[in-house]
Amino acid sequence: MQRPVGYSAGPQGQLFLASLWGLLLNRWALWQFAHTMLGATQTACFVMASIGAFYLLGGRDVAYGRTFLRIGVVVGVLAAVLQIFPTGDEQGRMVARDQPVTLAAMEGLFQGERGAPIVILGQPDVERQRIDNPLIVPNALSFLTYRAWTAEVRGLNQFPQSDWPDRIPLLYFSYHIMVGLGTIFIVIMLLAAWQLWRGRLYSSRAVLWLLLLSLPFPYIANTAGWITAEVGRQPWLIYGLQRTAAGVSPLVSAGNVWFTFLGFAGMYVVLGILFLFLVAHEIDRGPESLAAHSANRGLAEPLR
Amino acid sequence: MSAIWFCLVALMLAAYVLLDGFDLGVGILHLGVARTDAERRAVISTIGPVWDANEVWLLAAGGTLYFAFPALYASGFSGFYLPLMMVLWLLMLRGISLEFRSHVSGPVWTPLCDTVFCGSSALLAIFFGAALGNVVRGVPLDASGSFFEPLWTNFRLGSDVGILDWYTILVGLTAYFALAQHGSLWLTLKTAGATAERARRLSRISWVFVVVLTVLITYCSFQVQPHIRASFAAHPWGLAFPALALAGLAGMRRWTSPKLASVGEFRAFLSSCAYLVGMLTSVTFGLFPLVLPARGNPAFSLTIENAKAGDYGLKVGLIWWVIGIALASAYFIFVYRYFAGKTLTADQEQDSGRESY
Repeated sequence: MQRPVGYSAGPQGQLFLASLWGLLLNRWALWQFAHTMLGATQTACFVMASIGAFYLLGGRDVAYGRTFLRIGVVVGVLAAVLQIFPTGDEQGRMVARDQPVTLAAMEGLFQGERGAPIVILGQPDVERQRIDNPLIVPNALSFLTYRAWTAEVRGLNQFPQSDWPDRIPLLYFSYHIMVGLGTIFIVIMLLAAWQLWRGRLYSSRAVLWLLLLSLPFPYIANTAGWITAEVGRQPWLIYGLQRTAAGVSPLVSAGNVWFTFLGFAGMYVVLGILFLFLVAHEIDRGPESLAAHSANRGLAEPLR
Repeated sequence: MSAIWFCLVALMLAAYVLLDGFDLGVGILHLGVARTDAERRAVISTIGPVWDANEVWLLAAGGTLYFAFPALYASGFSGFYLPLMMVLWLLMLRGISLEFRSHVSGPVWTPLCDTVFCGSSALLAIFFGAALGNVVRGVPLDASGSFFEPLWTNFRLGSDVGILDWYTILVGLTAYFALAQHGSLWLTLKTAGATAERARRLSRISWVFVVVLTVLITYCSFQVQPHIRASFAAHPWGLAFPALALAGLAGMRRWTSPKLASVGEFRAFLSSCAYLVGMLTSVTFGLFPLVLPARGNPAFSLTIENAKAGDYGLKVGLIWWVIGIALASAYFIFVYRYFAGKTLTADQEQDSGRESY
């Protein structure tokens, strides 16, 4: 998802920069930047809270564990709320205004209508143009998009099929996973913050377990958001200006792309295993042993 | 305006070669120059605070290229698709081996990291040299400004060239020895004791290879790319650039001799910088105004004029480039001053009573 601005087009379709400030102050860029940074902050908060919960549940590194939990939950509750509102909400409204076909595909809205419902659960069937076993909230999409319960939201049937994103199920699911997880994050963080406020978080084993197990989900939500953005702008490489098919390197053969794709996949598998191993290793070592080690070497005590 | 940007891109690439050059060179020599774990940690500590900042110059040069000469960027990144991906893999492996080395200690982990660090540094030096060789030799551009090169074909300079042929391999080897030399002089400057002495002796050996290869590739480049000869014939003042490289070679020899070893460390390193800058500017001067010469039909060559971006963008970009580079330079001066002086092992530190990073 993107909205190119601040350019002018040359005689053969080349694009030139026409306005630097127009480019820098692109509304899409500003909201997307805020949304992405909040996603990163939220991930950090969940990781901190999760590791803190791990230490408290294990009865080790307790002083550090409490600090991790406190920082993770206090910042995390703010980040989780701001992630959905206003940054996520504002982006949804920009998609509706500037790229309505993307919105229809994301939401699985095959037929446009007044008072459009929002689909909570259900599988898109692109051939028959419908959602299987839909679980919906009536009129909610109209309200979220246009702040009016009966506003008309355009569906996929109102756009030529050549302009539809070409992987509708992937787009639909990644978008729903992102928004679904984002909503659950708010619930988890509010619950944890409430317990923290009452002074019961450190002894509430159920909430600590919940925070511990939530560790992988911000990563999944971030990745799903990324997929939503990249699949959502298809079939355009530069939205409205250049089709993805027109941007392919003309002389790089598919075989060569497979070669580098497999190379990257292999590299990332190795990296992923190394990452998990090293992170587990460092968490297991714990901050107290590291602090003791630094004290032995005469270095300053790390911040508590 | 496009000539200014040509010079700026060349400047940034030269800064990259000087800065990342010594840490690639340190990587090439790592296994040989440092024998014990303490020495190896000291060697890595000499580049630890700066190596990733040095690599930023490559990114910045790539970004500037994309900004100022988009047609060159599009053509080059498609045509050099395979080697660019491999360079990325090598940069990843090298970064991992450096950063993850200290997380786990053990008889398997540390040597593995050291070997990956050494091997990826060596291959990167050769790849970067071969890349420069490709630009000098020219690539099979078609009328639309596109090309694609496989990794190798028959290693000859025919019409169907690959990334690697005898000429680009020669340039790659020159880069390997020149950067090993650069790294050894950095280590002479930044370490003490046995490591520094080994580095100094290695620099004397690599110097011989550098001289022989420099003569060889200079001769070959004039044969392979006639435009270079034409440039120097038309503007003889450009001979100042090769003269700088020669002065650098002489300086390296003089300031690494055993008699002057104690006073010449910094001057020897500066001489190596002069050599590298002299060689790069000679190539840049020889190719100007071409940015990517075509093999076959010279009319298909990419030049600073047919590859440049719009005038408004180039003008606005110049202002922001100056601001950005001023900030980056200030940061670099700060970092290098902060970490100035020799990096010692724990034992050497106790002997001299000095504190190290």
